[in-house]
Amino acid sequence: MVRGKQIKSEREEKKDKLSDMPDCVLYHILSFVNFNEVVQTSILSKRWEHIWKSVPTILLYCTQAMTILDFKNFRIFMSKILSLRDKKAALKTIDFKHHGGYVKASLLGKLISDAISHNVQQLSIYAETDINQLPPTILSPIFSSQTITSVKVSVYHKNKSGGRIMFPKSAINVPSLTRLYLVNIEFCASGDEQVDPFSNMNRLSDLFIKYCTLEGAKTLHISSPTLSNLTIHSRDSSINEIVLSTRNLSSFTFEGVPLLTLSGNGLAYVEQVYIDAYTMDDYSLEPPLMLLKWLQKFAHVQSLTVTANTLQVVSLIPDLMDMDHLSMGNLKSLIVKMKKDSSPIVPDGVMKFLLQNSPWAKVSITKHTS
Amino acid sequence: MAEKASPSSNSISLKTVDGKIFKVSPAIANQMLTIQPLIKDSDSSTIISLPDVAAFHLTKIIEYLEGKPAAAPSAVDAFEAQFVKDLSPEELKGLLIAVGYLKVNGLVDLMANTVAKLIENKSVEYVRKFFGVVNDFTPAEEAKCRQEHAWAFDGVDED
Repeated sequence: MVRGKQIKSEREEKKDKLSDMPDCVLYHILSFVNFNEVVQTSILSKRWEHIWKSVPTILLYCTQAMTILDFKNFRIFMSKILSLRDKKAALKTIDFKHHGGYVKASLLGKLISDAISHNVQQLSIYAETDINQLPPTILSPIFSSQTITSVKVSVYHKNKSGGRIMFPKSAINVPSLTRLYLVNIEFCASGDEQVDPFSNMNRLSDLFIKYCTLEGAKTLHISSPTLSNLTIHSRDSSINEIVLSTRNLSSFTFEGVPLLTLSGNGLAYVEQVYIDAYTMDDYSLEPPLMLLKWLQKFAHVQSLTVTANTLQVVSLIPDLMDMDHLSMGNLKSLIVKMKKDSSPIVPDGVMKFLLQNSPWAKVSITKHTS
Repeated sequence: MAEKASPSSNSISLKTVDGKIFKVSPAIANQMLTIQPLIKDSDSSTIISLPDVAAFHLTKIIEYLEGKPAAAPSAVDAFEAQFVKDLSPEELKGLLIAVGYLKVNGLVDLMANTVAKLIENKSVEYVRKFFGVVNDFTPAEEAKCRQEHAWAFDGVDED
């Protein structure tokens, strides 16, 4: 018995294949084009007049020279693109990136409230602004959105120094949120309650916190049974301690100076670890001892990646040769990432130390390409 | 119309619109999401016809699906840049339609992004020519359309 199979083409076969792309392919192409140019395709032809209204991704990549950044123009632009949109087309992503100079705080507020009121699923913001001009409730709309699945708020203060954006104290209700990326956020204690900002996010799987701080508390609680990937960037002890109640945490990444205490049960479950640690001076024992405490908690780690800087910090641990520190018995792979300019010599004692109870670990040394 | 392929170890037979038959491993075929459901209940005599895909496109798609996993993680970008480097605009468009139709993992984004870079910051005439768009606006209609979207044309030099 012989059979033939045919899948229905979305287009009629007689049409010229090259000149007549299906709408869905055009949407895909235009998802990679800055949105003011996407709107400009409306004058190509009658068919194109309406294509832009269904493009699922709104890219807003701006430089200081663009007149759209004038707040009045921006307000008009946002209200036009959102009000003229095809109501049936899902708004998947709004991705705002701004380079060179800084944007008005009011513009970021408008961007967030517009995006959330149009049920965006993924919102990403990268900008420099005068953080002190941001209203304390600027993030509140995001964290009561029923549709949002992914949030990236990467907002820096003018000249990249100082300034924190308040995290909403209460009323967190984001049933669809899975990925959260926060930079320069301040978590605040309310009353006597412990600061546990993510405990209501029932689907959270990826959390990235960079240069975040605590107000009114010393300890940040991260309680999330769904959290699978955690990344922390931190250079100081503005968060003193993080308590991890994360029984499904499988991957942990750290970049910065190890000065914060990690407690709770989270690290014991982790299978993949990436650490890029450094110290500001070679005399303080605090970072190396803190790093040692972390390493001692990785009871189930299978893959450990460290940078050359991290090995340098490890080498500062006192009594490195007393071999009863670590028990990474499941470790299968130890990867050392060398920076382009770092010396390729790995201190022998440091490797022996890291591998002391890891009989099956394979070691590889790779060059950092970026 | 009946098709017959010579039975061989569980490879999948794909027939392009220009009549060529390719045999690919299930691992490769499964990354073309559109044909995934057909693979499950296929036997070795089944030929899956691909109405929107020419032999050239399928050759490139297989090159991508075999080549990308073979590249080291740090070399993926270079592999992708090389993959699209020598394609003409016509080939890019044809390949994009083919991968969009087959829903090839990863390749749809690469192709769409490559085409996007080609039309970015280009004049209306260039983009019309690129997509083979026939301008069916009367001059008055085009002016009106431009007027209605003036808020998106701020600061644009029209040459």
